[in-house]
This record gives sequence, C-alpha cells and structure tokens, in this order.
Amino acid sequence: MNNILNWIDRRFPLSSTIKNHLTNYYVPKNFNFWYFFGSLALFTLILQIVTGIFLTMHYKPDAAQAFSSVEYIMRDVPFGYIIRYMHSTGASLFFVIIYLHMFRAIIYGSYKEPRELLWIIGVIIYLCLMAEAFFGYLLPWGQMSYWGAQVIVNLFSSIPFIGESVAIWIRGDYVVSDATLNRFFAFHVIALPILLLGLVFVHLIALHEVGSNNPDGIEIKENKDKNGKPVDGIPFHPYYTVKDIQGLGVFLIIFAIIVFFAPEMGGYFLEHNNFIPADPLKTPDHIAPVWYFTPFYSILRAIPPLFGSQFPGVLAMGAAVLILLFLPWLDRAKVRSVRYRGNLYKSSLILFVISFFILGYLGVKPTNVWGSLGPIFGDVETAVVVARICTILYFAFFILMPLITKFDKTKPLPKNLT
Amino acid sequence: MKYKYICLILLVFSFSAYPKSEYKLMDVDIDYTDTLSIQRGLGTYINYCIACHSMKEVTLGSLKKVGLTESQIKDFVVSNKDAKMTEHLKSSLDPKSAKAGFGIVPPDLSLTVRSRGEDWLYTYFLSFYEDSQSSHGWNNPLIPGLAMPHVLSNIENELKKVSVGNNNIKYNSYIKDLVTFLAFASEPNRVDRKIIGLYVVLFLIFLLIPFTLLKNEFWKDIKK
Repeated sequence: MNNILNWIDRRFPLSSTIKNHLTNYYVPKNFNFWYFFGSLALFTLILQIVTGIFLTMHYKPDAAQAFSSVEYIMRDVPFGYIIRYMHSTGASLFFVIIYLHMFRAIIYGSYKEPRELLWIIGVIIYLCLMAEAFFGYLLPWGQMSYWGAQVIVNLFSSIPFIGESVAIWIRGDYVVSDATLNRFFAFHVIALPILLLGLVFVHLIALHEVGSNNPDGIEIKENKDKNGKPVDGIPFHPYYTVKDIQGLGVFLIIFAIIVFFAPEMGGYFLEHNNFIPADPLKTPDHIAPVWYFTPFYSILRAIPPLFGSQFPGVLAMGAAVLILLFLPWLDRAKVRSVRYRGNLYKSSLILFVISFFILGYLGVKPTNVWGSLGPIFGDVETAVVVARICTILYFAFFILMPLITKFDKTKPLPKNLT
Repeated sequence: MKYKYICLILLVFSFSAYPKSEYKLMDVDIDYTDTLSIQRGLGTYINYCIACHSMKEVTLGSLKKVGLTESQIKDFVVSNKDAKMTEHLKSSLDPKSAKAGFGIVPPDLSLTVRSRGEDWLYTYFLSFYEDSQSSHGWNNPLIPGLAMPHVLSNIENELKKVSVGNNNIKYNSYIKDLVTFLAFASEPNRVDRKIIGLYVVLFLIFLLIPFTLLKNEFWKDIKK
C-alpha cells in the first residue's frame, strides 16, 4: 500500500494535496448552522449534473417534441419521475442554499479583506447559476417556460439602439422558437456547467489560500501555538468532513420529502401553467418568473418606464445583482461579524432582508394583488408603491453602507473564538 | 416622520380594503388509490370525452396501473385487437376539422389536473347552466362563453331521478370519478412515488443516526 502511494506521489502530488487541503488545512472550530451551505452547494451542483445526464438521455430539444419527451420521462421511463423531480427540486433548493450561503457571507463579513476575490468569484458563480437556471427553465417547453423566456429576452430589446438586434441574436429568431430551444439546451447542458465547475474550483482555491472566516470574524492565523498551528483551528478532515456529512443527512431528508411528497411545492418549484404546452399564440394572463428570480423581477417592475422604454427598470435589475460585487469596498467597518457591529448596521441589515422578502413575494404576484391606494392617490396600485419602497430600501443598504459602517459603534473584538 | 407613519397606516388599511373576487371553487377530496373510481372515470372519458379530447401523453400501457389487463384495455378502451400498449389515448377527431367545426381544437386532457387543479375541474363539471344566448344552449361561469356544450346533461338528468333530495349526489360522485381518472392520468406514478418516498425518507432518517454518532465521536474532544 505504502509502495503504491510512494509510486503515485513521485508522479502526482496526492499525499501533499490531501495534507494541504484536508488533513492539515486548519479551519476555525466555531462554525455554526450557516457554514453547512458551502458543502451543500457543492453536493447540489454534482446532484444536478448527475440527474441532468440521465434526463438528457431521454429529453428531446425540439419544439415539437420537448414537452412530450418530458412527460415521457415522467410516465414511461423507469424511475424517470424521480430523476426529473430531483432535478427540478434540486434547482430550487440550489438557490435556497446559495442565498443562505451568500447571506452567511454578508452577516459575518466574509467578503472583507483579504477575501474580496473569494466573494467576487462567488458573485460570478451566482450570475452563472442564474443563467443556467434561466436556460434550463425553457427546456420543458410549457407555457411558463416559453413566456418567461419571451419576457426575459425582451428585456434586452429595451436597450437603446441595439436592443432589437441583440434580442434576435439571443433568440436566433424573431420570437422564442425551436432555434432558441436548441441553443438554450446547448448552454444549459454544456457551456454553463463547464463554466460553473471551473468557477467553483477557482472559488475553492481562493478559499484555501485565505482560509475560512468564522462567526466571530477574527483571523485564527494570528493566534498560533508553538507548533505553528492555529489555537482556534481544527483540521478540516476529519472534523468538518464528519460534520458536513451530518448536515448532508439532514438536507437529504428535507430534499427527499419535497421530491416524493411535494415536488410542485404549491406551484412554486413547478408552476401549474407549465403543464400546458408552449403556445406562441396564447399569452397567459399572468407571467411570473420562478421564485428565485422574483426579487429582481419586482425591482424591474417597480421602476417606472422612461419615454415608454423599460430600460431604466432593466438597468436597475442588473444593478441590483452587480452591486454585490462592490460590497467589499462599500463596507468600511473595522469588524467583520455582525456580532460586533452596532445597532445602526443591524437595523439596516434587517430592513434589507425584509425588503428582499417582500420584493420576492410581490414578484410572483400580479401588480394588482393588493388592490389600489384609492382615488386620493390617483388609484396607484398598492403593490407597486410597496415594491418601490422596497427597491429603495434594497439599494439604500448598499449605497448608505459606507456611511453607516463608518459611524456605527462597534464592539471590541475578542482575542480567541467565542 | 409623521407623514411616514400616516402613509404606513394607510398602506395597512389598503391591504384589506380591496379584496380580489374570484369564483368560489368546490372542494373535492380525491383518493388516488381508488382504482375502481379511476376505472369508472375512464369509462366516462371513453364514452363521452375521447370523441373530441385526446390524452396524447397517456399510454394504453399505463392503464394497467389501475388494474386493467392488456386484453381488457384492447377490448373496452380502444376496441382494437391489434392495439399496442405504447399507443396513446388519441381522439379520432382531427384538429383541422375541429377548428372548422368548433372554432377551436378541443384541448388535450393529459395534464389538465396539473394545470387547473382538481377542485377547478370538479367545480367546472358541476357548473354548467342553460343559456339561451349561447349557440349550443349552455354556459359555464368558469369559462364564460365556452365552446363545449354540456355533454353530460343526459347523465345529470338521469341521475337526478334516482338521487334523494335537492343535491344530485349520484351525479356529484359520477363527476368525482371522472376527476379521479383525470388526476390519475395527469400523473400515473403518483401513488408509487409516495410509497417509494416513505421508504426513502425512513432510510434517510436511520442513516442520520450513524452520521450523528460519527460526528459526536470526533467532536467530543473539541473544547467549545
């Protein structure tokens, strides 16, 4: 056994890689609930790729056959319905995990120096994941797939001067059609998965270069014992491998309950309208994107059109995502973790989270969901007003952050992890 | 600041001030394991619906799940000795003549329960009323001005004669059978899924025990 290992080690850095990245890679010992979502995200990515491979074996990327081929998987392929529900549930839960993973980074200041690049790579992964989900959602070729794609691609046509050409270039046609389905299939099964895997690898390299942050937001590397090991650190393997496996066990139970007992999740994971085949001649009454896009969709709808163009809304929606890239430089606080920040920052964070949830809720509903404010306010729709207030709160969290974090009273940091 | 509060209070009131009006749907409690109900609903579909409405995603073979044998399917469902189990429930009405005759192609019913819901379909079948304005004499509040007449009106009248009281209970349960069949057809693997799901979830719960013991064993020497 030892001889084989030696033979390999002279040709490939197997032992040293295991040592540097697992058994001798020191991680803070105080990881809590929020730290499960990194490894869970990796697991879900692999799950989506594996179930995706099996779906691709039976799916037909052809406008005339796509819908029925998905139903063929659901009905006649042995265990096909389990594979399909795993993939559709996995897609939604991937976003749940990623949102919690990003929120963890925000509350514990994991984006701050020296982890700016780690954060930026993460935001790029999130962007790719959105694209991956968007392309994948067209493939079942239901009404919501079709009109959702139509709406999103039309956003590009609102770009002044070049918009219409860009939209045609994306669709490969004047409307979403067979050509669109084929190219979206190519992006969904090849282009973006490769990109995602590459970016995740780079994300992990960056993580292992700087080491993990922790709920206290202090560097464990600054407090070492005489052997040069961090006092508050423990090796990733075996401690966090066994802990992450336990977390995975809990996740799998939740995942299986959804897959087997509530795969539609009340119409949020699989929308009711998507069980009607795509019909280019019949626009549904209400087109809503899948739940994980709705906060941004709400921001788009909240911005009033300018000279009849939706372009300002599109810009705002793009800015809402891209502003995350600047987070490391918007935060001027001396501490990382929310545990040692003052009430000013805490309140702004709470407002941000609330506004994000309200925007998400409003995004799945038509704008008349809450009626109108009445004739005194010119019959403006309540939901539109609320969405505008929440949009302002969403951006205010980032734009006011330099001021808030500068004047916010922070608590003194402990020397050791608590 | 005061202005903000006034706005906030106004907002809160306006939420409840303009309720959305929708047609109230009746509740129906479908038993997906009731294969006899599914078979009765299939009978109704074969006798009254398939003339116009296909179920192009439903294979003949999938009907074996409700307890029919291959020869029963050939004899009673398609009346064709040479039918293959991979064939689908197709209407003999071709789309072009349907368009010419009715103005629309009658919708495929394979997934109606998944797009509309059971309650909607149940209410829909029970909500036909006579309307002299309509070309075929019928209307329905769920799809005002619909192209389909009340195909089951004879059945409704027949069953009314044998039902006791004002409610046409016999007809309601006849419609419930039809909805149960449509629900089965929209997801034939639903019952299997829940049975397998129970085993999977139980297995995963047991799997969590060694995972937890393993974690606790390693972590017992880590000081908080």
